[in-house]
Amino acid sequence: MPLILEGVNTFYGDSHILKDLSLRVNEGETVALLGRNGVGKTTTLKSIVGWVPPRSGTITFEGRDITGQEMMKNARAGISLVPEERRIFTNLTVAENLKLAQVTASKPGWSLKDIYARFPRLQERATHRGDEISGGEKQMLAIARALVQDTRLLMLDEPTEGLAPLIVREVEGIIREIKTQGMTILLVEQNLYSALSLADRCYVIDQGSIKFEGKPEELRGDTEVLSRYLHV
Amino acid sequence: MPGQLLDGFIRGLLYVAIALGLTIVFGMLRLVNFAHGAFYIIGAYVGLVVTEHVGLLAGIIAAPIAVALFAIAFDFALLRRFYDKEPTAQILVTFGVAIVVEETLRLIFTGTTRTYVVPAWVQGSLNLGFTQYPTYRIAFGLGVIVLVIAVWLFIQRTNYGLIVRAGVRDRTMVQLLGGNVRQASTVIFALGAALAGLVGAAASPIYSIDPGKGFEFLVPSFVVVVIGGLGSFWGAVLGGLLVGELQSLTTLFLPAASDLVIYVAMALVLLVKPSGLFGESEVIRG
Repeated sequence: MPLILEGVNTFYGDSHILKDLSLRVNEGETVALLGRNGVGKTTTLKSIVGWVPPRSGTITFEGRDITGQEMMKNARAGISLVPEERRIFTNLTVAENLKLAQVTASKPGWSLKDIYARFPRLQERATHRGDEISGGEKQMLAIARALVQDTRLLMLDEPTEGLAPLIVREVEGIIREIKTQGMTILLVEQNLYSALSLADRCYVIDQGSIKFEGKPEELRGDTEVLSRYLHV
Repeated sequence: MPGQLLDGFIRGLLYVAIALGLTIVFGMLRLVNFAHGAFYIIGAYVGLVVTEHVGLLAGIIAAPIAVALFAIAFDFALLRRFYDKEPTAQILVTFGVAIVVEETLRLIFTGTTRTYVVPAWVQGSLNLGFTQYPTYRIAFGLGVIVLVIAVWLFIQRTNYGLIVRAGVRDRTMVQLLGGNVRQASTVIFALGAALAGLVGAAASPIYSIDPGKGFEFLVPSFVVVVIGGLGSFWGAVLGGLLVGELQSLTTLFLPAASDLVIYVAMALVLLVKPSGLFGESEVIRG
């Protein structure tokens, strides 16, 4: 079992954000974490990677307790977070962004050749700085950065946010492709339809705890959960 | 006049070497390090002692190593606890260490101004065509230029430099990718210190040594960093040369104003471009 969260409580200062949150992601599964703004989706991802360590509860990855382990170690253990703002190094070129991820990886993942074959735009833009590329290219680069490493749990925070519809479809295509290759994915999405089309299973989170767990088709049929927690 | 210009250039290179350490450490650690002058002066005294007993080359090699070790110990024992504190706390602790270093050196070596004799092969002067100029100063200048290029190549061309450049922009993301930011910070801190120590040993035959020299050179170097833009590599280089020349030329025409002029220059630059000549956007980038 790749990822298990049990009774996780996370705080920002005095504010209690995650309240006894439990969830699990199975091997090769794509799980979507859904909910409105500010309910704790991003905090869940930050708790897992050790960015905001939980105050109590346990997080297990591939059978090892990683609760509160520092970000660097979690990354080296195979957990990749593609954060919401993408956080491309704007002072480095596209190629340097990829090179950095290769240099800091514990083990190599995709080769640069494979990356450029799959993301030809990145090859075209290889010598451009991170602040000279479009939002869609940034998202591709952020995902590619995770792929050049030995990533076994890919966590994507709002990967389609702020992208044009055509680019959204392209990013979805990439996620679907990575998924078919057997990657375990935890996806945070505001875009309900995008998430439901990609996920094998989903959780709905509200006020820091899980309110619903089930398959996408079950969520589609549950009008109460949809209207109460997702305002659909 | 050509001699004065060259003097300014050499002094400028000295500021460049000190300011580079300051600006790189600021970029990577967001640390305003008032102990940087202490690194210079420790290097100068280590250079003095080793030169007197072994020779100048040994002194110039020993100084950066000794200072780097001192910086690593300082970082582990004290500074690390202040990384996340407000700048005032960092300034106080680094300032405090600088004073302790200066007074300790005064206890050991007294306040007397010292210097050391350079080996015969760098004594005398060279005819540059337009002027006669001391050989050691020329060697010093060339050495600093080589050093600046080496630091630039380290930052631009090595994997380590890549982590540093990324860390300057976004430490969290480097860690999320598995990069060891803490280790890189220590290496950068030690490197900046070694640079100051090296130049401290190498510059002493030109500018002589006393325990107050650290502060004496630190202050203009801060001006250099502010003029060039905090964290900017080429800003430090350009700013250093500018400040060196300004001081040197003012000494020629209006000696009393030679200190004042650099602050006026700093104020003018800040008025026109508050982030310095190469501003924040050019952080540690060529």
